[in-house]
Amino acid sequence: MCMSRLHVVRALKGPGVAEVEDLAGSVHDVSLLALDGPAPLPGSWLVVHSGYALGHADPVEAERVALEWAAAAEAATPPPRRRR
Amino acid sequence: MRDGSSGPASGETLFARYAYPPNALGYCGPPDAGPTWSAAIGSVPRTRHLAAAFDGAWPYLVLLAGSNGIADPLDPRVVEAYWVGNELVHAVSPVALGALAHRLGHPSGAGCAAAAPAAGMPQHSFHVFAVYPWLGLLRKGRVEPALHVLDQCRIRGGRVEEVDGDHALVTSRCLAFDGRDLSVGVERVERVRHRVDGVGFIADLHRGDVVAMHWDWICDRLPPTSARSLAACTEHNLAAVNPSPAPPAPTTGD
Repeated sequence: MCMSRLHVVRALKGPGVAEVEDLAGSVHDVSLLALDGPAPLPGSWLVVHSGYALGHADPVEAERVALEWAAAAEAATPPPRRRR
Repeated sequence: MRDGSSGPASGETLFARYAYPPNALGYCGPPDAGPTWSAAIGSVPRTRHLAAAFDGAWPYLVLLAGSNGIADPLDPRVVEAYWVGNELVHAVSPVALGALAHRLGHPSGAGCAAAAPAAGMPQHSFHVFAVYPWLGLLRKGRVEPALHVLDQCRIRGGRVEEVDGDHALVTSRCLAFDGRDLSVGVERVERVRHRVDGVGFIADLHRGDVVAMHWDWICDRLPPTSARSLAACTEHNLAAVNPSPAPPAPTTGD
């Protein structure tokens, strides 16, 4: 049921662990044990699944997806009720 | 103990019991797991919008319901079919399941969906084994994280050995990988949670109960038919993603 999701790196928290933020603003720690290549830097984007970073995401594509996601989330939010 | 198990669980409650553990870990579902918890313990009667937020599970419920002529994807029979399997899984066409697997598959293609979706059954283990990227990563040598996720994220059956406060010791069989095939392996005893501060999903857990687990939680007590369905679906979906049996060695001389 879980799906791969984009997360942006906030900080490296030690060997093999990064603090990341998903598109909804939730902050998690993820393991880098399954990640190939260099350790991610703060501000870079990762594809995360079930608590593990699986791959580096293209930053331009990730930023585009993040903007689209934010726009969709805003459109789905009901407007505040007017007071009578 | 307070819980939501005084009668047959609604489809919403049953769905939430299994969805809560990964939601609480931040792996799927809405950002706040509080509403899922409330639904799982039956304290919120109508939570239909919640299930649709689990975008890796909801499409299977819709497919199962539609394939069986059931209007409500949260009908308890449909929810049971998705989490532990029942007769409804047989009505889903392989083509429809394959198309869904392809749509949900990991963008890297690291999962197995492209290779063997049509032979699967639309129970949760299909998504874990065939759509997740983890079996592909397991075969590439990422054994430790991959086996952990595959084992914990499938629904696994077990037998309660001891109840210890909010936790229980449960005997279950772990997944194993021999470098070629993924299979259900040897028994182990694991410590899992069945309630928080006296509140859980099922009442009066006892030694000898057969239960279903998802991540670090006991989600439900399984009657024998459900335990058999869960085991059968798991074995079936493992066979769907494992390499085809090696052909028999050619005979020589005649």
